[in-house]
Amino acid sequence: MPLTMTRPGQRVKLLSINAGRGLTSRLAAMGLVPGVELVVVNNGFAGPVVVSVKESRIMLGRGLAQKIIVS
Amino acid sequence: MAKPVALTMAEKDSSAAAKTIVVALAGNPNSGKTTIFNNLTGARQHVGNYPGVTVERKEGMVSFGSYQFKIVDLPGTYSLTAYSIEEVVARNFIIQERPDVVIDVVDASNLERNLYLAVQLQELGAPLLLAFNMSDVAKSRGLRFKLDLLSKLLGAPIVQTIGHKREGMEELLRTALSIALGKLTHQPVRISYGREIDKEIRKLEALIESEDGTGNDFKPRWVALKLLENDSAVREQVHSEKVLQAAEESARHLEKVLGDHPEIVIAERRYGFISGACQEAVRSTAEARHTLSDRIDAVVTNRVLGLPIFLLLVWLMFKFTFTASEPMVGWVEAGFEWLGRQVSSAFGHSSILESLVVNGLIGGVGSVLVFVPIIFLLFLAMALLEDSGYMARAAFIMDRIMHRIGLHGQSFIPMLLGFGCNVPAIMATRVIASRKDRIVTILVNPFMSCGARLPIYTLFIGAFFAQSGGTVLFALYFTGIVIAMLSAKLFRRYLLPGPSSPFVMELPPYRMPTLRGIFLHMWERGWLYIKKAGTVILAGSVVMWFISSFPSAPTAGPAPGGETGQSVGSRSHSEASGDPLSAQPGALRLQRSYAGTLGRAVSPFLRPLGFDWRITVALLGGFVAKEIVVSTLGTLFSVSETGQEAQPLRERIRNATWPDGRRLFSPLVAFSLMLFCLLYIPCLASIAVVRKETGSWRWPLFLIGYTTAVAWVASFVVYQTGKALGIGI
Repeated sequence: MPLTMTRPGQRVKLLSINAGRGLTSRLAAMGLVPGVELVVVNNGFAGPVVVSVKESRIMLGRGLAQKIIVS
Repeated sequence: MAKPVALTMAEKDSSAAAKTIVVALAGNPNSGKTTIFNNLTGARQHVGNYPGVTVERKEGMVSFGSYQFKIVDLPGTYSLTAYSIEEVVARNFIIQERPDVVIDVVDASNLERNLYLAVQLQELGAPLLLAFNMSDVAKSRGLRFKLDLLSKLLGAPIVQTIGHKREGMEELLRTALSIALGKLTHQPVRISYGREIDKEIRKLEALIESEDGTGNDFKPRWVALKLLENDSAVREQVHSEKVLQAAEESARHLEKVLGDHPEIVIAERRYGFISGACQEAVRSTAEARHTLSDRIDAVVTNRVLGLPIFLLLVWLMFKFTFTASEPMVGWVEAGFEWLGRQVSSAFGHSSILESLVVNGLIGGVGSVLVFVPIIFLLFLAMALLEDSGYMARAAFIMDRIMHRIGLHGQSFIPMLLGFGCNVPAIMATRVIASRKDRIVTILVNPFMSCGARLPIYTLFIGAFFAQSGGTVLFALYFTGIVIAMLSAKLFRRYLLPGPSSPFVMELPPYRMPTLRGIFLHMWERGWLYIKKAGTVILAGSVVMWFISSFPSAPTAGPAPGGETGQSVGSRSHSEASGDPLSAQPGALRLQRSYAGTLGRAVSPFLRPLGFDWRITVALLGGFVAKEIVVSTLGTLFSVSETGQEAQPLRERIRNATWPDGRRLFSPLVAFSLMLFCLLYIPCLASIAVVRKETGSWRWPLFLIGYTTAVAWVASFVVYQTGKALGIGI
């Protein structure tokens, strides 16, 4: 499911990112690579999604969060 | 072709004592890199740009024993790909300028993510030294490092530091010196990316070596790796078609075998290597997950409380700025008046030179520098919000609203800075990755009411809105924000259309800012304002002085030596602060001058807004800097039409009339004028910085036309509606 469908506090695994190659590399540098465990910190009906990955909190715009598939 | 690191170092040994040791400081954003840079260099910093790009280059000198270190602060980056200018700048610096040591500042409490950059620096062949910063935070989180083992696994020496307590700085320099002198060498580690990728790397590496396609400083293995990673900048450097073709084939082959783009698999494997090293050498004794940061975030990024808390903080910021700056503005004002008098008497009165210095230079630049306290205090408050980590949360909170106008939360931070001075605010847009978003953010910034527009409001609110001053001031600031937002939406839709760019940003953990850190931060931005006063506005003031002093030369005025020979500028300046002096010649001279002629020529266009030629001249002066509007008004209205001269400017403006005896100003005209000043042409310095940051004249010219049109329409609507309905006349 896309990251936008998650609830705060949920622990999920990143499966894939359906974005351009440049953006995917940028996210990888911030710790968001396939296989990594994420904890959803903040997610409402609108606005960005905040996830916790490898000790850092990353804020992802809603459009981008839609393209991140987790399970 | 690069030689192995150890060898290069040995060569340098003999000459190192004589020359400066160059140390590059790399690291992730929020790793505490800036704090370490400030600790090492103190105030001896030099800020410039990397050639050809708008990426800030900071460097500073430090002496250590008998050695001189030049510390270069590389841009904060998460990796060394070609996807952002900062990353390309950082890696080009290391490749081309070959620093003696590269210190990678690593947030030890967030080790795995931070080591991702370290590994890439090492692959680049940099003489690497790792600074495990925030080691106190790591310790309090229950992390224990086997440093020797970790150092061996990562192939680089490690020094533990605590930036905000300035701990570990000496050891850092000592270790850097050992590396530079070749006394400390580490065997670089070669990461295995798995059999398939390694095989392709080796194949390409051999081909590159035989073809020598790059013909420069790049290491073949690194080039091979980067080509597999689809790195556009490296691809441009490779001139051999054969190599490029082979790389493409390898990438295609890997994609088939691995089922994903090679660069993603390479990133995964890099993390795999790092996490392997950490598993062996880092012990975590506590599973404390809910940090203080998370608890604060639960409140300040709360869906209900977030926005009110943010607005409260902004309100406090302004309250602090205005309250604390009030006495200081008076001091600066008095200081410049005193200086003007001193210079006047030193030159002897009524010489052209005296007029130039006192009116043009001291008057013009002085009227700008008077606002230094307001701008510095506002930047101080913002530095506090930024360094504590709150500003990133503000971006989070504002993202929803900014999204509606086609931008992201990140664009809001430069807008907020615009309340201080638009020049540093426009430069702060550099953090925005998308070029379209960045240009839109730059273009709307001048609508944020900067500190320089405040004296205009103060004058007219004092004269016409004494009862409802706060409301009027708020209305102006708010109008600025609304017009900025509407313009952004308009630009994003018609001028720079395209899908909304993806937004990703780290929320750094909250940190107690250091006093030194926020003062340096404030100084950097504030200095840009002072610099603008010293360069662009200085030049503009001289031009303004010239066109308002000639053709009728100052010597044509009263006899030399008399008090009445006092200059226009010092007078206008003192009048702006409410101290009346006799003034008749100045006003007459201005009327006859080029500026007066020009003002009268342009004024028909501004008649529908309720402005006469004198206001027009003042507005022309405001193009140099908005503050100049007030000092020019001071000169032009120096003669009160009732004949009373000992009146503050506020009174004189209230009593000013049209030639037919009607009052010139009413609350309506005053508001129309304030609105116009808020919206019309950005000052010269802003125009110059827009030109520099966007790289062409296209945008600043567009901005001049757009802002003037918006200002004219807004004031026209307000004035004509008010007149028709009989409000405020």
